[in-house]
Amino acid sequence: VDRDSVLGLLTALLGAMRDVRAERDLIVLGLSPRQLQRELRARVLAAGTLGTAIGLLLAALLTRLVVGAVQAAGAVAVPDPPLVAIAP
Amino acid sequence: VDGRRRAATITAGAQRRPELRALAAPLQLVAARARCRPTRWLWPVLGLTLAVAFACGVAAESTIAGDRAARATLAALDPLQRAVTVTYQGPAGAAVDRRARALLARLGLPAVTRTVLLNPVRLSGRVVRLAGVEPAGTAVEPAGAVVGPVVGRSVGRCRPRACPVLLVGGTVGQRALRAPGVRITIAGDGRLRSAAPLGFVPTAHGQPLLVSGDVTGVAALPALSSVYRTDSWVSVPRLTGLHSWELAGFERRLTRAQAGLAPAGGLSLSAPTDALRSARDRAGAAPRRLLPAGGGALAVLAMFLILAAYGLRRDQQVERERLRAAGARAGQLVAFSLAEAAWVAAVAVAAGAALGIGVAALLAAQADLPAAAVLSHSLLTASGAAALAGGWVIAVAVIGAVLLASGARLADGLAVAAAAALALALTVGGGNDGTLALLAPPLACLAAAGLVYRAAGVLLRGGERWSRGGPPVIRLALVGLARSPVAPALAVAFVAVSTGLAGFALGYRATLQRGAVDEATQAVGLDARVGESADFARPLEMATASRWRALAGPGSRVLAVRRTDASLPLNGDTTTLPVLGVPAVGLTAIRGWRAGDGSAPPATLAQRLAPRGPVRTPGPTVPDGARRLTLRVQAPQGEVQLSADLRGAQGAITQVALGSASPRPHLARARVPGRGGPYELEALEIALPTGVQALNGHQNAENPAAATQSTTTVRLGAVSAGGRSLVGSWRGWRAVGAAEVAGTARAGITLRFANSGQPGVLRPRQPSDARPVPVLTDPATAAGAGPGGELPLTVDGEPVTARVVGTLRRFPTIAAGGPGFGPRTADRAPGGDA
Repeated sequence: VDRDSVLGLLTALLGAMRDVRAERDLIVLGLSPRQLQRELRARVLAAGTLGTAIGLLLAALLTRLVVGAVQAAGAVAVPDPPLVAIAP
Repeated sequence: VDGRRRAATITAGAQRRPELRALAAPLQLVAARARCRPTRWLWPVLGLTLAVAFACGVAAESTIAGDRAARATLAALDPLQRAVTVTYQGPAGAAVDRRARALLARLGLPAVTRTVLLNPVRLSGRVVRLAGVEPAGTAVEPAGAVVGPVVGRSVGRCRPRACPVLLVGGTVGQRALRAPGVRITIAGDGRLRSAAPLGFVPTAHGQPLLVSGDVTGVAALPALSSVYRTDSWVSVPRLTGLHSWELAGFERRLTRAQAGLAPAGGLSLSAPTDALRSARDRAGAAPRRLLPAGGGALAVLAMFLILAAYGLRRDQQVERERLRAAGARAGQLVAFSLAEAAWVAAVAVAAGAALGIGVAALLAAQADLPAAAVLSHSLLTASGAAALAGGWVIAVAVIGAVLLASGARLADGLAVAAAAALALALTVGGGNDGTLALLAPPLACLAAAGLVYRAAGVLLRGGERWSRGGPPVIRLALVGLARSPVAPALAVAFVAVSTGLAGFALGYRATLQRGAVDEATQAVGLDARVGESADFARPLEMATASRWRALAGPGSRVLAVRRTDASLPLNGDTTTLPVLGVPAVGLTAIRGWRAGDGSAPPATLAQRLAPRGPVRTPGPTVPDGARRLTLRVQAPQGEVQLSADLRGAQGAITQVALGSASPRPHLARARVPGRGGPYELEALEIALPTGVQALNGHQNAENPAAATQSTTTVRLGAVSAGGRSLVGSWRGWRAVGAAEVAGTARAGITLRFANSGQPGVLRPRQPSDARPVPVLTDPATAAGAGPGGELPLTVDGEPVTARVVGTLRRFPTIAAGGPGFGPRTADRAPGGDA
């Protein structure tokens, strides 16, 4: 999952985040290549930050499902002592 | 008529041909686009290839995990549990022997051990069991049964006039046993290495078992021909050599063999079918452990595929616009998009399957399993091919939907479907086999992805408004994101889902690891736990405490723990509680404590448990070199058995028999053990003779009336050892259990002993007789304590007042769900053999 996240992050943010038409407009407005780079970096940062923040919230919610998932997986038949969810 | 038909066919064909040509045109365009610029589909193909390869890897790993689980289950079986045994009741001739061996040979089982076990028989006044085990040598693994100084051939053949045997259990006290027509000589001692051949391992204190290496000779002893016997042929297969996918076949063969034995033939077959079934169940359940991680990763890869396909949506739209301008119909446009999705998915599925097969082979090699076998039981199966075909159809549908459908509708549909599945999982997840509970996290992520996708646009627009006073570059970036939010929203959803699932995966792993550690510490408490051996020898009888400490190594803690039961009157009933005597200082060394496990931290509880004064009043010391212990005894109303509990230098208790006290006063004697001293006289025990106990037990069990009550007076005089008087006065001694003090004289004591089946104990007064023993117990037991937190326990027949100084929700080695528990200081354990 971690590797997928990294791969997806790079692809998503560097590929899908680029908007060629918007870049063309900005060039017409007189933005230099350096400023264009900074604008793209800001896009990636904004979207990445938003996605990561929501993802952390989602991870916190998913932690509530951890004990059920571990028990359902049959890794431990009847855990003694009972399982407790451990936040990473 | 034929001409008209032919004309109609030609007309219909002419009408269909333009339709086919119309459908062929988009396909030709797809082929041309693929030839012209195949890399345009690189990212979707890569995403789908990885997803398929990952799914293949999960499928192969499932098979490997199942095989590991099955083999772990089978590896935990002892030889008796693995044994395949053919049994014949009664005397077996050569024909029966051949049939039994042929049956096991047909099952492909390894070396067979033949045994004959006779019912108990009285020889020279001793009740013994005689058995034959062949071959009896150590070379036969693992069912070759006897390990000893004399085996098989060297013991010799069993003949009526001389049948040499090994004594592998109990004691006989003589070297030859006789009955009319048979003479059995004990050639040496041995021990059974496993319980498989005879179905049990005799204990050192149990009924004597005599084993010969000559089955035929034992079976043919004419003097014992009337003794009932069981003939067995035992084979112990190495079940760990079986793979999970071979278990069903092996079990089927065993079941068929069992069914094929006619009841009238006298042979019966017992086999480890339950163990095989259990192993198969474990193998079947093991793959489910991969579902959360596998499902999560597939959800992320599905999101990646959607994201990558969305990146090509604009290119597709441009191409479709061009086709529409050239006069293409709606059907041709759909056919164009779906055909492109189909070939992309086909290439990716094929590449993913090839990559997955390679991954599966690598995983199998890492697990030391044959790659071909793993593949043929995971990927290269009909269900594997069907799953790949299904994956291709789903991929075509997903890519086609991304290319043709509205993004918002797709996200809505995805979110609604995932939310519905999640609701179902959370509702019935605990009621089924748990599969839905395992899929809940990935489903929750997909539902969240849909929500995030729809909400991201709003959030980005909000961000743009919020940044109006900020730096121009930030404003430009947020304006750009808000102006065209679809691709950024997809990216945000993808990052959110990836992060959420990564967090879940880490939490899953941490929870699983912590659970395993907690279970281990619950089962052991420290690094290792040493308990009684198969013949009930206690750790301190096997080695001294200092020897255990030396074995544990420098810096290691060795805690001597006394484990027994106590009864407690609670809520109008008597409850049996497990009781542990744990050294108070060792409480903090026990691992696996959780914050909420005790009413206070372990160090505080240990302080409360620590004794406030001497914990034990020692008994008189037996002088060094004393060989005998003597005691003047008399029991005017009937015979009782007496024994002395001697505490050795290492704390181990050795019970030595003083014989019986009868109406005639006499001097009872016991031999003081030569090693393990110096000893102290810890206590004297009084019990009914074994025969009387058994008789009383039968009478009381079968008689509906109340149990018979009677008492016997027992007079004890001076105790001496090595010519020295050990007990000058009995005044400081207390009788507990079934005994009570009736009176004391200058050098004697009179006891009243109740014939209740329980022993009576005479011992020096102990500090615990005067003040309560501090204990920790579970909250429910503590709630039932009397004033001052006192619990009136009966431990090993002795009354002990305990005082609750803290509560515990759990304690290592005490099973959950049972009644309470009370760890306390070991030195205070009655009997003191901690």
